[in-house]
Amino acid sequence: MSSKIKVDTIENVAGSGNVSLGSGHNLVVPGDLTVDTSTLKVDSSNNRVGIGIASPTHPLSVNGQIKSTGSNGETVQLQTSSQYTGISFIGSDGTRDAIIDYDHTGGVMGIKAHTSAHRISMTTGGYTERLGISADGYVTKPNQPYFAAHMTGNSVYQSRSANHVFDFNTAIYNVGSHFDTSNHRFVAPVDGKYLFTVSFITNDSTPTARITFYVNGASQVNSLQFGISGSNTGGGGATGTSAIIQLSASDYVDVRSQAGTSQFYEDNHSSFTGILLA
Amino acid sequence: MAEIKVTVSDTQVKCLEYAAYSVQDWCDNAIHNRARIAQEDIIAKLVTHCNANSIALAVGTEAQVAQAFELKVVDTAKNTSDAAQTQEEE
Repeated sequence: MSSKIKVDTIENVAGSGNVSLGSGHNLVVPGDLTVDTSTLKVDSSNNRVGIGIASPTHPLSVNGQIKSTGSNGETVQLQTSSQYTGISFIGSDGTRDAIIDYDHTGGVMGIKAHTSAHRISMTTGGYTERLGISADGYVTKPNQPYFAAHMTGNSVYQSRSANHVFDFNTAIYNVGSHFDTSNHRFVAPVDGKYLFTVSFITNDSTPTARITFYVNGASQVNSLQFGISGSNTGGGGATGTSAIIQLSASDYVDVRSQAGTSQFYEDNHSSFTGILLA
Repeated sequence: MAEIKVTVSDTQVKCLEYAAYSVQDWCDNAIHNRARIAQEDIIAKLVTHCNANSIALAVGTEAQVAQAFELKVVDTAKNTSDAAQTQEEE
């Protein structure tokens, strides 16, 4: 049985309030559906739904912010039958500026600054950049622990016995402030591999000093003496060494002579540097 | 002066003795160094705040750290964490 009732407006019998379908009855709308002009629009001829937009251009068009909530950790899931699944970021001029996508065939997660002059920036602690990739592909890590220190105050060749911590009391660069100029130690902020270099002008008449990097006050780590190096003779000679050292957070490194007496020029002729590699 | 007590097992002491020439020195350095970095951070924030608001900066690091807390330029990590937690729960 079928029947039709043609009306312009359906109202609640009281003149105001809700109009409800009885329990177990469904509302079937074969044509367009418009709620509050553009709050919800169903375009039946193009099979599109608009939220906040009267003329949806995609299967789901939203004019406004989207917030997904729920108890499941995956609040949004993206699935396609093609090679790539992703999100595009379109500028007001319609330009596709950036893409985050996943290549299901190649197994590659991509973060792409699509426009040629754009760059990628990753931040923590608010909006402070920690990792940047320039448009030319230069990778920078502005907060990467790094220091370059030298000595000031003595300005002459100093005779130092073994185990003396060399007095690198002035930091020219000290990213993250992990080098302590008061005790001349670099303290690792995180577990990682760190590169250290040290160089001295030396005036050893008898080259007995053997400079090395001390880790946590010890000249040896697992029987390895990092960067141990002898010193040259004669005024104006140079000695230096370097090492890549695996450190745990809060481990510290300083420079000492493992044995013998040193005769180094303790001024800005001598330098101690370090950087977190990985 | 405050004293911070850390209890470790004999095994942990042996492990630390393997890692450091002096366990006490390593512990002291870790604490003092973290405090030094925090102090630099606090004073930097205080200087920025005082410059922006035409406030006279206290003299000396101890006074500056105290001033930063008094002016609420910084707060304890516990307070900020607890406040954030409360905000999220509301």
